[in-house]
Parts: sequence; C-alpha cells; structure tokens
Amino acid sequence: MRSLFLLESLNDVRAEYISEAAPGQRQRKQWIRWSLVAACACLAVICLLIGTEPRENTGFSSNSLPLIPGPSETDESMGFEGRLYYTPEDLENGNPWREGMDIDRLPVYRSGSYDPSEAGEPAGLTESEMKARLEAAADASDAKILQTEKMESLSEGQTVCGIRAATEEGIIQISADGTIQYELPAEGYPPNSTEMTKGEAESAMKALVERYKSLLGYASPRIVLSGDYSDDGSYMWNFRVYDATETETGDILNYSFDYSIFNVTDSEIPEERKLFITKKEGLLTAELLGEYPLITEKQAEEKLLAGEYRTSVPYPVSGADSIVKTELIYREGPLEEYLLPYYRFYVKLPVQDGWNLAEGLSVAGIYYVPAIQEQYLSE
Amino acid sequence: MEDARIVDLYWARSEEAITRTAEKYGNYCFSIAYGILSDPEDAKEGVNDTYLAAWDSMPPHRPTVLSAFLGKITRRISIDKWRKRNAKKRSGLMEVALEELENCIPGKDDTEQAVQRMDLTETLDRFLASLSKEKRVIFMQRYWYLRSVREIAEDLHIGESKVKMVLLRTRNQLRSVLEEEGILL
Repeated sequence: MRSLFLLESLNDVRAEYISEAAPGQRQRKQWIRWSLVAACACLAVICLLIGTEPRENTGFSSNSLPLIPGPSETDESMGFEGRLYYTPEDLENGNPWREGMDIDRLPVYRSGSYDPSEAGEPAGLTESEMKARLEAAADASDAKILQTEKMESLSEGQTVCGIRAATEEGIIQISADGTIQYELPAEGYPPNSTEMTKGEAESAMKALVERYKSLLGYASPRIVLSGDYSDDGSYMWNFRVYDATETETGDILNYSFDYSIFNVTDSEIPEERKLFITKKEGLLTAELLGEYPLITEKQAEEKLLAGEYRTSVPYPVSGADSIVKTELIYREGPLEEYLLPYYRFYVKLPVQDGWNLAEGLSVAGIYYVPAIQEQYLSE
Repeated sequence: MEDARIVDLYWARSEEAITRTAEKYGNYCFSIAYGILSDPEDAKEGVNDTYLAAWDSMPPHRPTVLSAFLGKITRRISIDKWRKRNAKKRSGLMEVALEELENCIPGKDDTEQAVQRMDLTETLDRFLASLSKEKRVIFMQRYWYLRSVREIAEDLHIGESKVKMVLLRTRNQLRSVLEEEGILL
C-alpha cells in the first residue's frame, strides 16, 4: 500500500520536527519565542545606539581561526538538564577546572562523530577501524574473542555503527564513535546505588581502578567521585576516572573527553549483577581547529544574565543571586558538531507545580555560555 | 530526570532506565501507539516492546532527543503491529490518515516501488523544512502522531476548519513535490 509506505517513511524525518510537533508543548515554547523576539529587539537597539554593524560571516576570524557557530536558541527535548541538591556542595563533580586558573586559550575541535540526523547514531570509525580497536581492547583485558556481532544502524540504509564481541570474561562492545564498553562479572564490588560513605565509595573505586588498570591504560588515573539525587532523595554514585596530566589544559581535556565510567548494577540474584566499564575517547575522530582565546567567568555571567546561552531549561535565569555553581567544561556527544569549551552555570529554579521532590531538595537548571571570545563565534 | 541521565542509565545497563523512561515517556509513547492501533491493550504492548527495543539499542546509540528516539521506535513497532493485525480489517485514525495520504501520491497503485525509503525520507525532510513551523506541526501531528483534527485544533488553539484547510493544502504541496522529484510509489 503506497500510503502506508509514505507514512512509514515519515518515521525517520529529522528529530527536531518530531520534537517540535509533540502534543502538549505549545505553552512551554511560548516564552522562548517571546524571549527571542525581545532579545532580537534589544540587540537591534544596541546596534543602533553604538553604531555597530552586524559581523560579516566570512568563515574565518581576523587571525585565521575558523569561526564557530554560536549557540542555538534552545536544546530540544522533553524535560530539561538539571541537578537535584540539598547544598551546593552536592554539585561537586571533580572537575579539574578552577576559577582563577591561568588559562587564556583552549583548543576547539570539529567532531568526527557528529550526527546531523540527531538520532544519536554513533559515527566516525569505519568497520575495520572498529575491529582493530576491539581486538586491542580484548588484548588489554587479556580476553579472547569468541564471537562477534555487528550492530546495525536503526536508520535504514545506514552502515554498521558498532561491534559486540563475546569473550570468556564477558562482553566487549565498540561503537563507531570509539566508545568501548565492557560487561563483566560484578564480583564483590558494591552497586552504584548502594548507600556508602564517601570513604567507602572511594575505597571501592580505588579497588576497581587497580583491578582494571591494564584495561584502562591510564598512566596517572585520577578518581572522580560524585553522584545524583533522585526526586525521592535517593542517591546514586557516579564512579569516574580519567588520566591526569602535567598540565591544567590536559586535565580539562581528559576530564571532558578521555575518561572511563564504572557502573555496578544491582540485582537480588548475585550472578545477575554486572560491572560495566565505559571507556570514552571523545577526541579520537576530532580535528583540531586551533587554540581559541577565552572570555572570563565574569564575562560569561554577564552573557548568561543577558540571555545569551544554550539550554534545555524552559525557564529564564532570574538573576545573579540564583547562580549556585559555575564551571568550565566541553560539551560532547553526537549532536555537537564543534567541541568547544563552555561555562556551565547551575541556576537554582523556583519549584514548579507537579514537582514532587523530597523535602529540602532544590533543582538547579543547567545553562551553557560559550567560553571562547565572541569574535570567533559566527551568527 | 533529564534525557542524558536516562540514556546514561541505559548505558550502565541499569533497569532503572526502563522505570525512568516509563515515568517520563510512557504517556507520550502510549499516545503514539494508540493513535495507530486504536486499542488500549495493543498500545500497551507496543509501548512495552518500545522499552525492550530501547534497551537493545542503547548502547551503542546515545540519543540526545530521547523523545524522538523513543517515538520513532514506538511508531515503527505500532505500524508493524497494525499491519499484522489489520491484514483483513482496517479501522481507526490510522485508516483515515492513510486514505488522506493516498490522494497525494502520484502514480498508480500497481506502480513498482521506484524509490527507496531513505530517498523518500530525504525528500520529506526537505519538504518539511520548506513549510512554516505552524504548518509543519499540524502536518506532523496528523501524520506522524496520528492525531485527530479536533485534538490538533485544541492543542494549537486554532479552529478545526483551519487545521483541515492547512492539511489539504499541505497534502497538495506534498503531491507537487513528489511529482516534481519524479517520485512514484
């Protein structure tokens, strides 16, 4: 039936068209539209007042660094990026960036794993490159590959987006963006959801890193312990480790791109408990564009308060008093065409109807301001 | 819980991922499945199959727009179910949507399928990009989410007659685009 074929073909249209048409979202989007109109109006007035002409987008900045597209109006999704916390200390996440660091430039990359379809398809490596890395990963963990299975793309006509290998120890899987995931027996390690003191969590993590040091291959593994609260106040530990370097820039890059996460799942049946180690190499397929000069945290805050930010949060920033934490990070993932540093602001949000939070919990919405200087951002 | 954290749970193989998905997107997926299947029990089954398919596909996928990712899975599964169930009998919103679309397809019924789905999807992407946002939302609500004209009108705070008019014109536009691109289904 031809109409059924047409109806089915609609399935794979761009995700943004699906998101924007999702029923029941009209009210939420309204303020975004009006805030954009207001922002454009303000910009026009400012241009008139100071006589500034819009910058011509030549593709390159004055000193030959390629221009980077500025932040889009909003990140489409249902729900928004946020953190739950009791005190601002709960938002500590081991980020090596600290205010006052002597860094005035940071590298910017073009991602080789960018997925313009927005489906989150892993991309970047060829099948043969994935095979080679899979074999290297098996060697690093002293595992013998018994059988492999190709992971097909969800979109029709696309290629292999991952390979899964069964070994005597467990399963090793590589994705086309270079991410390797190991599925191993949990042995005696505590699940991330276990109630532990920070000291106990640190001991567990140290033991894990020591046990799997050859698999990680880090010369100076630095453990990062953090966690997330759920609405009901329960806590889930995040076990993360990255390779520390001798430079601040190297630490920031490795923290954002080259790190591993340990997840121990829980089950009443001990044999069903698994350890998952996810090893990320976010710059594997990236192309360096150059070292870009940065704005200061204060300048970024001014931009935030002026509404020049990227966010999935459907509420505006109410004022400087609502900022509970600021840090510098790189955004990563299949939807990032350019990998550039951002100031990430945690902004306390007023409690909304329908939020059923445990007593004392607050919500911080996440807002991003590009950390590179404005003349390197295109319209 | 935000999408990225839910995806993290899938990657960590935590069954909490399914719970969180059901909490946040259960109604969304159900509405898509119900729009196609017009039967609550079948729709529930379609939603459960969606969770299973999501579990199997993350990793390696890391969708950022989780709603669209889940919605596509639900829609695909539900259309497959509809096809199997309705080999003999056709009914509901799906049937009406199919009849409407039939009229905007050039060519004859017995024409050999001369276009691959991927090519058609690319054409549809370009077609949707050419529409105003309002028209695009109306078109997508009707033919992606399989919503009734009344539901669309209520959601967008516009009259039903306007929805019908936009749909008629948009289908005609689509027919012209498919003809211009020589797409015969």
